[in-house]
Amino acid sequence: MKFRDILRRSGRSIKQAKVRTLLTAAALAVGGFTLSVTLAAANGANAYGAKLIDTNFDPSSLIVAKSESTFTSGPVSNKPQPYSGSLASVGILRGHLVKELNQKDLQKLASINGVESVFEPYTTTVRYVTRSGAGKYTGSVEAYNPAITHQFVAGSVKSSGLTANQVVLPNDYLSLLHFKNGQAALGQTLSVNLLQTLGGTQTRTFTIAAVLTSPSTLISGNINTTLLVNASTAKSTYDFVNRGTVNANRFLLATVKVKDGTNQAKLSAVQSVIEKYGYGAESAKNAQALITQIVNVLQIVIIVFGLITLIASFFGVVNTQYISVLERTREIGLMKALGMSSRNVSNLFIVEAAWIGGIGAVIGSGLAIIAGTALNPWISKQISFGNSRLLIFHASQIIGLIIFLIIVAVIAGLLPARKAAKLDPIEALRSE
Amino acid sequence: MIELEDVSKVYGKKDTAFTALKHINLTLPDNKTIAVIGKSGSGKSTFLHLLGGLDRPSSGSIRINNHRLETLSKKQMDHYRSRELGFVFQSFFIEANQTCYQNVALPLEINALAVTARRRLIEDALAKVELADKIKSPAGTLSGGQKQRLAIARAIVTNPKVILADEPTGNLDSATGDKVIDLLFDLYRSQGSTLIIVTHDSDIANRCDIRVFIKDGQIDKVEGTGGDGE
Repeated sequence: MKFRDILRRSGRSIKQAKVRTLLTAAALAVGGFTLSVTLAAANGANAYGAKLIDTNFDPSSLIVAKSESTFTSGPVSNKPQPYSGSLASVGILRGHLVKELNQKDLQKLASINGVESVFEPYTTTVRYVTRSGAGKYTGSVEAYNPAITHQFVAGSVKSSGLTANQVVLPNDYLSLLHFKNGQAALGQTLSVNLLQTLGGTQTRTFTIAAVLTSPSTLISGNINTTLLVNASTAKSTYDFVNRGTVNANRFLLATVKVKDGTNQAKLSAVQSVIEKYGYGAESAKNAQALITQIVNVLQIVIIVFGLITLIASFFGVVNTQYISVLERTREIGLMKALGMSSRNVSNLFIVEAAWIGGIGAVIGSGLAIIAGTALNPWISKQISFGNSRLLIFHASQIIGLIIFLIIVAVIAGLLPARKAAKLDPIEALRSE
Repeated sequence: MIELEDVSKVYGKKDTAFTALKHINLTLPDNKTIAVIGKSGSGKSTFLHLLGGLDRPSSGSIRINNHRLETLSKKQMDHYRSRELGFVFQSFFIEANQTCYQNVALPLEINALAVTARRRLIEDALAKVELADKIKSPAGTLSGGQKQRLAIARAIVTNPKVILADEPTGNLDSATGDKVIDLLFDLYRSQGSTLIIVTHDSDIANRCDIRVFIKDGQIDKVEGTGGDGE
């Protein structure tokens, strides 16, 4: 018997038992839906992670901390420590004490062979930001990092960087400072008032060089209130505010730019030297691997639930096909009497199971795509994904999933098919 | 030529053993109509099953058209049934949800005949049983007589050498049954096959060239021309 005939004959049998087929396929569809959504969510999360890395990390740089535990968030100690020189370089991160970098550390890092520069943002909270005729608003100042991708709504920063009195303004200040739009703000001046921790104040005036918007993937939570200035201005601001305090010259993280750092071997070489000195160092790739790992773990958890659904539907297919064999005993007897081989009888039922699997898979993944596409904007809004989409469907994965579900259904169909193949035609023809 | 040599068929084992056919020796010529007559439980169905390759003898030898059935492998037996035999059953055994075309196509599909060659054979077979106009109709919508004619079309579509009919009129009223029997005999003549009919009906038996009477699993007598048995 030709496979085409088996395919058509089994297709007709499936069509005749529409309700039963659909109900059995529905169970598989639930599994298919869950797995489709899981795969799509993992795709979306990984894509978001990649974008996150791209927005926040320079691939040729390393993020360096005083110790590896800073990245793992593990506590150095959550108990009082005896005072020492190193205690002065201990800061608090998420309730845990972590060691911080100081100026000496930055110099040491800069001296490592292969290091192009050491970047420290010198993030400083200012007293207020204002402009003639406008109110006073809170904010902070930080060094502009050219290695990070910024999204400007007006103006730009030259490759030579910002001059000492230039500033990049977050767009949230535009209306507060009475600018019509980003373009109107370019070349205008604003004032930043600094309050020294130990008393004094100072006002600095900046010219607006560019206006930027905060991409949803930016990790820094206060980017909408952070004014970007050049590195030396950021340092002098930081020094002025923190002069004489324990916060002076203490940094949680520093960015170490590696010469030809896009070359993974060179980046890794510098990373291992830094780590040998006892610092913690993470590359963009490490950070991405961490995100991917988290996503993968979550994905496995959801896939396990999907597979449990599939196991239930597996037995659904076994049951349906078993009943089908019992109901069609006479038909099987006839086919065997007319010379159909046991193998072809078996194939007929296996292909029927495959039809059920295929229908379930197409319904499940189809609904997942439809629902996912429709709900994507809403989901993105709920989880603050911005323009990114959580559910990204890849055709190759969907096709792979459909094939997988067909294989599951075929395996489920093997036992009933074996029963059909073993039926004695005389007994089968007698059953009435 | 159909030859049975000392054929016995025993069902069950030891204490539960039941001998359905005992030492049958029979020779039947080709291209004849043969009636197998006997009471219920006489062994005539077992006889038909053995000839049809649906069962194998416990002992003895069956030779049909140069095939020694007891020596055929399962695959060869399937092949033998699909190529050389046509079956007509008392209960029609048509696939009610399939069209007449699809019902008649089944033996051709089993024989893996090319799709292009099928249509003409199916149309011819349906025309011979006067169901050409029902080609697209679901078989379940046919009357009893039409269903049996459809079963006959399915039996003859491969142009088999032997047609085995098990009580073909058993589920039909006498008028319809007569028409079906007329049709079977007409087709037998035009096809040049051997027609073996298991029947209770003496009228049908009397129309056959040879009548084989089976009683208690043994050949009681053979009447007619060309048959030779004990």
